[in-house]
Amino acid sequence: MSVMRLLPSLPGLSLLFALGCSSVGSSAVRTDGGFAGRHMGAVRVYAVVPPSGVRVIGLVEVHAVNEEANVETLMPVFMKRVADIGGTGGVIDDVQTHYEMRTEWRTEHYSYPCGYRSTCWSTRVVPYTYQIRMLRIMGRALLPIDAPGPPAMPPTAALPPATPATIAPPPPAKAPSENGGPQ
Amino acid sequence: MIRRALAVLAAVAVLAGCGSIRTYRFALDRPAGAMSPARPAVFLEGQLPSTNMRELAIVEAVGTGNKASAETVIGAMQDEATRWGASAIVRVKIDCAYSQCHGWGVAVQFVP
Repeated sequence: MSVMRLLPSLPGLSLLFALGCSSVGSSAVRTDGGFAGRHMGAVRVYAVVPPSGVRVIGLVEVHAVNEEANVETLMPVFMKRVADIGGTGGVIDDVQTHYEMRTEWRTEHYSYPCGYRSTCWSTRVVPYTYQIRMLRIMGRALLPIDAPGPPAMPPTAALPPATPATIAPPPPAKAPSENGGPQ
Repeated sequence: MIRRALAVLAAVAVLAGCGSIRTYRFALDRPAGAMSPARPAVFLEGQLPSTNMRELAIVEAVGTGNKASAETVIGAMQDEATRWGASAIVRVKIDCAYSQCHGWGVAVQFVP
């Protein structure tokens, strides 16, 4: 089957995707190494100043394009993902807007004069370029500092200890020589 | 009859202009009780005021066509923040492109 025979069905496929698929995507990652149990209660969102007495347990990101790229659509998803990794609160760190130009091929029918008082019809595929807007909300999931879980540790203390096999034994201390050496 | 209807439709289209502005909001707290007669102040991202504040809502506006300007978008966000009784909008960020302009911010109420 040639590509030209497939092209007229692209608008239909696009419509199908537009009706059936959502552009909303999200990620939630627990970063403190704790148990990723889901929080079943309410989630509080802080957009300016996070409260005191909380610790960060993970990162959350949500995004969407065009009609779905708004806070009314994305914030409920953000709260759900915070709860998914066990957070009771979320703080919004950044809201980014990104624009992109997309080109897709569309089929159009056109007419042209042919012969004496005759009109012919034909079909052609033309490029159609449009702008899309992507909205991304980045944030962190929070938990009260006294909630059960691994203690919040500074990053330097969280480094894994080196295994003994990778550490060379220290050189044996030399005995000071009899005819000199550092005193 | 049809001509008259078309004329009315054309007039509506001209009056409406070739653009739109849409406003969105997400509640963070209850709205402040009293509406301030003054327009909410605008603080861009990184310019937090030095007073205590209560977060009321995230406000967002998207302008397209001839409404795709920072002026229109900030105005729409201020209108929305006024409905929440906000003293200011903080963390305001505006991103405009060829045919769209997007802005968001946090409507806050100053508390003593």
